[in-house]
Amino acid sequence: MVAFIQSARSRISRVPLPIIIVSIILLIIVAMAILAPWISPADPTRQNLLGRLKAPGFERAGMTYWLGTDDLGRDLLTRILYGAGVSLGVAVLSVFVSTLVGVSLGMLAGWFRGWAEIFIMRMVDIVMSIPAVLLAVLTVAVLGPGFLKLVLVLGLTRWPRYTRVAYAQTLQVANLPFIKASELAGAGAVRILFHHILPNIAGPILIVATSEFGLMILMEAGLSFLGLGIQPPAPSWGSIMSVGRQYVEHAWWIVAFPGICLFLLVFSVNVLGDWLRDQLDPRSRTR
Amino acid sequence: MLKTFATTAALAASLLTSAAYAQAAKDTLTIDLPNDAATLDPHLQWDTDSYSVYRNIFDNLITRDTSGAIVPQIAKAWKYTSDTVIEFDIRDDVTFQDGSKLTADDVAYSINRIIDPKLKSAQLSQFDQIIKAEVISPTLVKVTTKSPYPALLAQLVKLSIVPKAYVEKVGAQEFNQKPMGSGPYKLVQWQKGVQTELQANDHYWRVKPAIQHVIFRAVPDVSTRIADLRTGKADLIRELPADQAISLKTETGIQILSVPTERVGYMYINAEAGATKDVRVRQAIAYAIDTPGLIEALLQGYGAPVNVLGAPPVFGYTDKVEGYKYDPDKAKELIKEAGAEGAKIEFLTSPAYDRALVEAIQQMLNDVGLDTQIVSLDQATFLKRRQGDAANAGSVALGRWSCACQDADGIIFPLFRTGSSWAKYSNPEFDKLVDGARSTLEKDKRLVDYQKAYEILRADVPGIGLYQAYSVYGASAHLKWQPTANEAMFVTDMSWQQ
Repeated sequence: MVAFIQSARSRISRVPLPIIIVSIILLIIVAMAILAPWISPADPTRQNLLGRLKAPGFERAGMTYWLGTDDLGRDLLTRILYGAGVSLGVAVLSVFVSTLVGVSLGMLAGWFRGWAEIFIMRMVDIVMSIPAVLLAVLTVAVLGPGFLKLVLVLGLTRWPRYTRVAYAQTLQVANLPFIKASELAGAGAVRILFHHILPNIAGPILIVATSEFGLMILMEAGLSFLGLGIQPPAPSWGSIMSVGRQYVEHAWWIVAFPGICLFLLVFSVNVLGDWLRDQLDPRSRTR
Repeated sequence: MLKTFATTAALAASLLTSAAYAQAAKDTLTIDLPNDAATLDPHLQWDTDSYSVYRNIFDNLITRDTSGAIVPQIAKAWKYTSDTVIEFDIRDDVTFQDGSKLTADDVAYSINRIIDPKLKSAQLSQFDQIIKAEVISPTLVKVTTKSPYPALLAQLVKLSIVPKAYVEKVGAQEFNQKPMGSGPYKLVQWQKGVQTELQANDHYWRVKPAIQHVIFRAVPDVSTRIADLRTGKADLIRELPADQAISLKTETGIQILSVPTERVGYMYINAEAGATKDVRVRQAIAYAIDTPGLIEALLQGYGAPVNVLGAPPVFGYTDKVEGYKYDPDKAKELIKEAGAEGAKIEFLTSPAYDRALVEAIQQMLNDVGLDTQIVSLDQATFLKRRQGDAANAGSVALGRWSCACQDADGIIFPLFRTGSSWAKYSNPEFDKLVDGARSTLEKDKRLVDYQKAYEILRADVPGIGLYQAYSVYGASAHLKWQPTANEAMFVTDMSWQQ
């Protein structure tokens, strides 16, 4: 782990401009999510049926609706600010859940081999053979919707990708001489897995996590779009867009603004993830 | 290729013969429906879209005219010989599309087929009061009901007459694929999930269809239906949301057709579980909802206020029972009295219901001190919970109810009679009234019973009527058509205009 951070630090002076830009965009979105309750001009769920579908810049009772209002007269800017927290929150937490589950199982399979390996890796094959969105829709149908359930559903449908990487890396590392040495020195499985193997496989897993992060944001938006994610009236970018879709012809702003935000977020995360991958890839490291 | 040419030639020929229409006439009418027909066998599934397609292929025993009155179609006349026996005089000049003659045999067969539990018809509950149909003579059919059944004629309006010989020859499977009836249009092709193509039956006995070719397409997405109408890909689209109707109204070449229907938008309130078990909480909910506000803002006037759970085209509807006026203070008071401040209200919903309406009502309920949480489910799970055990059926849910029979027996009986899967409510007094009203033919007694039943519903509030739904269609300005209260879509009623 330490070696990995040091090698990353030595490169920080050579960060290209686009990476700096996307990092700033990400920081802004994170700030929006965290500061939403303080910087929002209105209450995200307060409706006003007489001020429905008003265009950006609409003014009423001393308040300007900078991004217009939605189909129930709620301030769109406020809903997008609050929605940022939902989108990021779901993505961060679900990536955490799937990393935790996936990496643990992958390391167990790679270390203990035998039945554990057969059982875990065949489970991985089974789960991966089911389309993730379908699996998520089915699970939500059984568990019911909600923020934490959504995190669990996304986390628990996406763990196999981490397992495969963790498993392959563990197999590789487990045969290295220093692991054999510590085993002979009497170290237990837990100690070896967490102190010696985990730090050495963290790089590739981080790469998987960044690529999954963008996907989680899109999956949340997709499920909320289908009405199976975040429950109204709580805003999420996906659900705001799903509402806006039916009004796109005469109230374009409802779908346009959260759409732009979603695009920027996913784009930034992906660009950053690609760059990190190049930085951490053992093959490019030798170059 | 040759076939296409032949069809085109046939069409051209038929166009020439109907020179009167030649000016404005296009030979094909394209209709965008939200869904494909579930079945084309008219005795299996029923929903507005299935009806829209297959009722053009078949004739009904009796039908409704544009004013909603029940009038003859295949049956010329009918009379009750006792409270439970009714005799239908069958026309002797009707032929099926294959040229065979329609007789009393086919009529009796159609009735006996749909009430046969082995067919597993989704419409069984509408016809299960009938015990049997018998052929008395080639033009006379006798129908016997279990008890005097006042809604019988209203239900028979929906009974399509199928050809006995053909159905028996090809079997149920094939009949569903290639239905054949005596109606004004015959099936050309049914591409499941995509479209159904019909062609005029030139030998139709009642009228000469003004439109030669009809294509019903399944277009689930509203924006796509609107785009189709704009670009001329569709001449008529069904289920247009109010906001879109308003914005389309001003466009040239497009007309908005709308009509108040027998369908009622309502909210069910669970009287058997949760916070809403207390009648004061249910009354508070009724006081908390500003229905005129909802109709004006969200339905844009495509809906009318109702005071009970029913609509004016429905027999048994009454305006003598007072509705709940919007009174948030009264609602707060009742909730305080019941000690239900902050009580959790579970609002079940599915994509089939208007989300904006759900969210607006949620806020109204929260404004008077309840804690309403929306639970959106997929439609199958929604129905399972809504029709299942009361403890798991949520506190409230929206619904849009129509029995397509324009009779209170088809509304408050299934919704609130003890033992019905929809009912989360039980009141023996109410049961007695609706049971009585469904087993007598005396109209006046029925009206009195229903009024009393509505009084009970008002006091107990196991549900409230929110609005009478309008069906809203978008159509090409060249189409001439007047939609009706029962949401029927008979192409013979349509024609082209300048």
